[in-house]
Amino acid sequence: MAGVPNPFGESDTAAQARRRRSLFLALGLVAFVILIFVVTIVKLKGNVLAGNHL
Amino acid sequence: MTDTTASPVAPGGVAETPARWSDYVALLKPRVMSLVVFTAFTGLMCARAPMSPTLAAVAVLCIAVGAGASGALNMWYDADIDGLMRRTRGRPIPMGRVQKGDALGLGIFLALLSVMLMGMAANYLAAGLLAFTILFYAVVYTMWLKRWTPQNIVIGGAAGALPPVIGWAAASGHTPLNAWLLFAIIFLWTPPHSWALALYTTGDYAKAGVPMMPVVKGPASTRRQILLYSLAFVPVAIAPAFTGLGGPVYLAVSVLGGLLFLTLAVRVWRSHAGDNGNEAENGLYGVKAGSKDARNLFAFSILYLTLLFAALLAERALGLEPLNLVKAFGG
Repeated sequence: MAGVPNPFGESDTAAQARRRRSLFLALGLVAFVILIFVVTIVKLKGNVLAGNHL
Repeated sequence: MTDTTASPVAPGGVAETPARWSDYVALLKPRVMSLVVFTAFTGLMCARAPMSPTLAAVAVLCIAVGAGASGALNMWYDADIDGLMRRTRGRPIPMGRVQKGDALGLGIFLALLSVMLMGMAANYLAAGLLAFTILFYAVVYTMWLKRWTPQNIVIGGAAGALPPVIGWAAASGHTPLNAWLLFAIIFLWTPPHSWALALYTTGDYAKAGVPMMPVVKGPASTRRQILLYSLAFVPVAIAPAFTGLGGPVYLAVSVLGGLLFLTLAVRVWRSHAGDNGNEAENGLYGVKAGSKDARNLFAFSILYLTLLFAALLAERALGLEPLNLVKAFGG
């Protein structure tokens, strides 16, 4: 990618910082989705075992 | 009194240097968060209620995220005075690395997220208490009390004292008197802890116009109030050993630590801490000679609170039964 001008007109340092922020934001979103899934399954399992679905 | 040159933030809070992901972590006040997690987890364990370990971990995570949201909202609102104080001028907004609006957005987003997830993973009582705590810290303490009254940290201390109650509520769905006893311990611990620090950072608070007790009432009055609050705090810290919450380890830790706490408080009362415009020379623990007693009390107060809650956790882990001499407090 060397020689390609930055489309936002930002410095290399700023672009690198932005990419890292975006990466951590993406990881945070993935973690959030997994968290909601796990909580749902655990709550579901608890209710099924308790017979609340009947 | 308003030396705005201390802050590199341009008018309007526009950041001058690119933000790193760690700057956003710093907005969440991770050191405060760790203490909140510790006390909340202790409250959760003390409830002795059957709870899925996964949901318990999520509940503690929600409390941690909620505390982080409070920290971000606090840094958003206090960006102007943070830039004036040595202790806080290195924060991301005064340093010009994060924009004020970003901190506000992050704080609101995390607050909503944590409360919603708490309601889903635990129960609505815990979610409601968490929402109240965030609002109390961000609005009542940060926006109102902090710049208005020297009682700011006394009343505002309620926000820092609520996490064990939230943890207890998350595990059991209710908050008996023993949960509120944990609240009372942190609530009464806060004034001597905060004022001991304020005694040797008076200049910083005065420069920022924050009406901390030593700035408004003077060092002598502050030292007297530290002793009075300590006299109220130590018996309350020992009380769980008699209410079915703490066992023999807790009794030993609370009594021995309490005696040392009172000794240090008396030393502060008899000292000249804060009289000479004492200013921290090297972080939180570097002080001029006259204020060493205040520094010692500040440092030990952190250790004592940690030991109290660690004793409760250790007794749960070791399966030690509480002494339970006054059963009316419930479990």
